[in-house]
Amino acid sequence: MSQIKARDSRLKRFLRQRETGLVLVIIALIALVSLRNPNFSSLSNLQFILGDTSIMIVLALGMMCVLLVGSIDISISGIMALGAMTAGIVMKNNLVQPEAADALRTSTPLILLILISMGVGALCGAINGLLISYGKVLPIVATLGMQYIIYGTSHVISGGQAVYRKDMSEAFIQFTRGSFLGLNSKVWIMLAAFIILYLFITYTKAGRHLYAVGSNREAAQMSGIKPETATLNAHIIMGALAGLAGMMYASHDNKVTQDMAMGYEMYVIAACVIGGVSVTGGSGKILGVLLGALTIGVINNGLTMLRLTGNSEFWKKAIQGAVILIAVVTNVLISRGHRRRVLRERRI
Amino acid sequence: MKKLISLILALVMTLSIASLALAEKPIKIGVVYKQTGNPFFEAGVRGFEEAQKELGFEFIHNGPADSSNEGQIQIIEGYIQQEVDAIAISANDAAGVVSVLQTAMEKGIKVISWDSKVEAAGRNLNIDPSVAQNIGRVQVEEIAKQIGYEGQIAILSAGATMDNQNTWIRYMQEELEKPEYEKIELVTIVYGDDLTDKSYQEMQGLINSYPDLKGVVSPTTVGIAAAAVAIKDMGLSGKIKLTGLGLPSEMADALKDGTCEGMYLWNPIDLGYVAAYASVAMVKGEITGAAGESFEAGRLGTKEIMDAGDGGTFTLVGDPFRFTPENIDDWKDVY
Amino acid sequence: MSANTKNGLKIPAWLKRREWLLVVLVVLTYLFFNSQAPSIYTFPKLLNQTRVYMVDVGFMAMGILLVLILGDIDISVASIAALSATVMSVTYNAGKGIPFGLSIILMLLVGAACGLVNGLLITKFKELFPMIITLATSTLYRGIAYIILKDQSAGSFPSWFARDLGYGSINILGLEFPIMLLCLLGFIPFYHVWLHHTVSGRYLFAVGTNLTASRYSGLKTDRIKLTAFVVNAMFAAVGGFFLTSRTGSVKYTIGTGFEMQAIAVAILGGASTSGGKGSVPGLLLALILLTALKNGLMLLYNDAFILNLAVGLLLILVVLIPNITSSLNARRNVRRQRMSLAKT
Repeated sequence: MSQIKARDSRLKRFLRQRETGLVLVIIALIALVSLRNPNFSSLSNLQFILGDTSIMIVLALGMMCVLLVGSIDISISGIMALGAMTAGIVMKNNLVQPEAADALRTSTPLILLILISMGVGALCGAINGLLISYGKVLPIVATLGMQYIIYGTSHVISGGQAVYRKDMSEAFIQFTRGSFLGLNSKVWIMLAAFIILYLFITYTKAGRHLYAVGSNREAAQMSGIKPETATLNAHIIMGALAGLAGMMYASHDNKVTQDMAMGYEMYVIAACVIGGVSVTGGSGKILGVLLGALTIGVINNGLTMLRLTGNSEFWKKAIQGAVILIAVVTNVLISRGHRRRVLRERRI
Repeated sequence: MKKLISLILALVMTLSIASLALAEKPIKIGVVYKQTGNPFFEAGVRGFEEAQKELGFEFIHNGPADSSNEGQIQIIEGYIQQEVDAIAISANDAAGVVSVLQTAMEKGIKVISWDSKVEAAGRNLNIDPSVAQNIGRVQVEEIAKQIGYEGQIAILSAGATMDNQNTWIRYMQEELEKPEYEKIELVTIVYGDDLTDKSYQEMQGLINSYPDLKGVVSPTTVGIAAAAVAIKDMGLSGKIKLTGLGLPSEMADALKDGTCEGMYLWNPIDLGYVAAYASVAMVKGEITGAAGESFEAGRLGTKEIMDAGDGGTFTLVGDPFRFTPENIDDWKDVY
Repeated sequence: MSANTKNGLKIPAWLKRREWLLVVLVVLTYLFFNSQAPSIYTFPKLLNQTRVYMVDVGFMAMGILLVLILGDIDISVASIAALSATVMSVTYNAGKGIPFGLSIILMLLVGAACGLVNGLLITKFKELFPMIITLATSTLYRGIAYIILKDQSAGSFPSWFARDLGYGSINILGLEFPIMLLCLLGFIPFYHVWLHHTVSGRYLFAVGTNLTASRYSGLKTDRIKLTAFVVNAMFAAVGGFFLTSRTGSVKYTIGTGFEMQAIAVAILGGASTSGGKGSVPGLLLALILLTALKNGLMLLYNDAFILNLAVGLLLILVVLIPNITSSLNARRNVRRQRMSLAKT
């Protein structure tokens, strides 16, 4: 009897998990769109969605760290553009091997380009972090200002010129086009980032400090954690991941423009919130973030696959807003129910 | 309230420092384009530079960072403040800049729209790259030839609100009514908002939604470039035909590897060049922009001004040029 | 305190006020650009440019200020402006619909309705950041404008609106004051008195400074928040009204990106996203500063990105510098106290 009860409660607990709820939401969305367009749930399209959303997931992972410490970063699209533009300029002008023959031009090693982009990103992240933790500028203000500055810088260093396919090395183009075990290389990059970050926030001191600082800053400080360092770390991670995401975005598009990815940050923040990360800091699970980003990815791809034609094209934007709103609100209702149940169980 | 008073005092103080300066100046043209950093308009500016060497005027150019109407208004107001003699604009919103351009015209500034027109009430003359009907027709002819006059096609456009896109699409649809195209079915029109990322997603959506799709027409340079990448990424080069309006520099690879067998575009350098000549002729008073007049446009010969049918006038630069794998090498470094 | 004033490094207290910092910056900006372009960058011409940089954003920023004082944020204001302007132009329908006065009232009502939706969602779902809710509603509102207008633009407004209000000016003491600017300047004193000198205005600061304490002292915090969001949305609608008078027609994309400009103005003027702070004179000075700066940069550099870069730098520096000086002062005071303790 007790055994049955135990299994029952384990099942219930599984079902009550926020992450389970999100999986159900994603399945429901896929089913709904598939009713209208069966090709939506085809393997190739699902693979595409996963690959396409990988960039957003990489960013959402970083955003989670930032939100955990109670900060926010709305400059990430700028960081993506600046990181990719810097790497693009190095590649285009072959700054690493300026004496190389024409045939060897644009042959800067890919790994170096990625490190450049991530380095630029980490630097921007560090500036954000310093402004917020030591300059005591509020996160939204600091990163809003930095967004303007970073896009401006990317415009200045590019001289108004975009980096095109012809300026790019083959390795860079193939960066997001490889495939292994049926999955796109973007997915593998995302998984690598996911695992590293999972290990970081679960098993390292610095990672746990992010949660500690976010949930109770004073308590964390008294127990010897430096909130400033944690905030700085979170922003540096965010910046480096944004640099990586910028490279993925640029390789995917075959193009680096100075206004690249403008407006992307809002989707990333929405993905985190749908994934259950608290914007006031201290709570959020990495798996939830992944699922939250996938929800947004499914919504966006679903809208293109709905085969809306003619006048219904105009409904897309409204539907997108409404669906994100519904997803966010449902999530709150689920977690409220969850909390109430936990309280009730505790009373008994 | 004290703060308010002190503020007013500060304003009054600055008043006294206002200064005057007068200088005789050469003809000055203010060029406005849709967006900063778009290679099409960079090429257009080269046309102005070329004309500048021949005519010796001054010009400044600018476009908003986000292809917005409000950004263009800011730029135009700045040009009015600088007292330019003519404004040459490629408008993001044909109606949204009419008011501010009317104010400019009241101050004696000549207004010429190029590439993407301004409504008749807000311009003196429009420089059309080519007859819209021809632009629509050649693209339909091209895709029909490529898919063998049979099968499903789709259009990947820029924005559902863009005037020139919609005009071309309307002419394409008219052209498709003709009997020789009766076996061609236009399944849908999708919009990539002139964003590479969104255009790519829309293209991928088209391919996955319509397994029998034979061809895609994309009358926008951003769209066709993104579509070429998407087709190639999905391993469908040659299976799904692609044509439209594309920049040679961006499309060179796609033309060479067979993703795109032929596409069209007019020469943006010529477009800027003619716009510059028209602006100068109008400032000098040689033309007023009325139908029936004509002006010399340097190496491109005499241009006639005609009635545009929307209450204004226009002149034509030339016909769209067909780019093929054979001739692309001559053009890919030009624009 | 007397020990502090002896120290030469001490920054005068009056300069610490944001308003005075802004006044200094306005004068410096003006003098700099005036010396660079003496014939174009003059006071009368700058006055004319206030139509472009000051009025519509100014009204939106006045609304945002209320929300920021509460410690919330609203990024749907530009979409609210677009939707209400859309409703105004569609119902007026180039003179074929209802009278223009009625469609203006309708425009305000639509704005209020949007604000009500925002406010209800924010007060009912406190776990959610207002940023996320207003992000979603901003897509939603603009989406509705898109459904209504499709690819069309609606215009043909009466000429008093599209010509006189948008581009006209009145001669006062030999200077041409744009009518739009006079509307803004005429409204600001009332707004100032209401926000800073009435009980209902002070409630906002109370709630923004300490929500819990305000609730315990009997304030209906939810209702205050709801009202603030409704009023904010109506300001946004008014901003859209003035923007429309300049464009002369409405497309669903109207005002895209204005929310960030409005937030930047409010923050530059002394508001803080953590609530409890904000001043109307500061906001007005921030508007003047941005007008002077943006117009000057537009003339000198003629580049949209450089303009944004400068605004970003300004935003961060204006907020950062007082923080750094005050924390340096605090540190110096601590050191001094320690030293005096050590002596005794």
